[in-house]
Amino acid sequence: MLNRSVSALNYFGGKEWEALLFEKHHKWGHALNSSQAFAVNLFGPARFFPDVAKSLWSALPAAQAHPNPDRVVVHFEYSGPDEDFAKTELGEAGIPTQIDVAVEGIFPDDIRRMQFIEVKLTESGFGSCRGAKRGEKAPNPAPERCGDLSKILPSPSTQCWLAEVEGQGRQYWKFIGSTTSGLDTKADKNGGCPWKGGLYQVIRNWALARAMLDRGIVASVNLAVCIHPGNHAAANLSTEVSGAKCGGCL
Amino acid sequence: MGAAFNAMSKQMTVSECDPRTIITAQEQGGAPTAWKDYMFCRYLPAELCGGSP
Repeated sequence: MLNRSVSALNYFGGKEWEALLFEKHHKWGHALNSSQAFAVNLFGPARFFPDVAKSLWSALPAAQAHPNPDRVVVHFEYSGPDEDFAKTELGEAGIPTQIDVAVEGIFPDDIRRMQFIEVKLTESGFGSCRGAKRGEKAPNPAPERCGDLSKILPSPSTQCWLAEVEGQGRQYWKFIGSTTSGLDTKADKNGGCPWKGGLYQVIRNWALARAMLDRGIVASVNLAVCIHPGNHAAANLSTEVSGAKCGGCL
Repeated sequence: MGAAFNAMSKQMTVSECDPRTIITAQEQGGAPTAWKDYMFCRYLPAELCGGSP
């Protein structure tokens, strides 16, 4: 663990690279095993050099369908096209959804396509929704509601704590539940909300992508997880996301 | 977990990317060799450290 006063030592390019985060440092961003620092170090060259960025694009899943953009821009801790997007579209009044790395490919006629990347160095999961927590300090006064997806789906505004918090409530269900969303939400093995477990961060990223697509801000978004090869917990994480174990690539 | 995410999502499924692929792609685009060495030595298996001539 580095002292916070010398946290710039956690980055290949020192203070210049640390500044790419625009003060959006994670609580443990000064830790040597910080995924945030790993992400900046891993994608940093593409942020500074246009040719490097175009070469990076060619290696991303998004390039399979859309190769050779005119220009590529790399963003860290990305929350949408402007500061208010996540608040306005997703109802996130507090800290918005922040994609670790968003790579934006700009094509002829200013068509924009994006690759969202969640980076995991040593973390073992995608976080959990606080609404399902129980106990004295649980924020949700009725967490038992999370146990029955069949009641949440028809009425998220009354059955999901997330839809009640922060004034207007989180708007995730507006995107998740839409018949045209492309998402067919299935209950977990106990019939409960699937987002109360380790898929929460994934669905937040997905909702941000869906909102940007629905507003016509981007023509397509690909989602990916980039996991350190020594992070063996990622095997389970991969199963959670894809439903099948990765054939030795992790 | 029950349902896996990609089984629910038909239009935007989640892919995986390997950090080693990300490093190689940027090196091929002209990223500094010193950066590649830094990444290999700090983050990746020891046998990859010191591989540059």
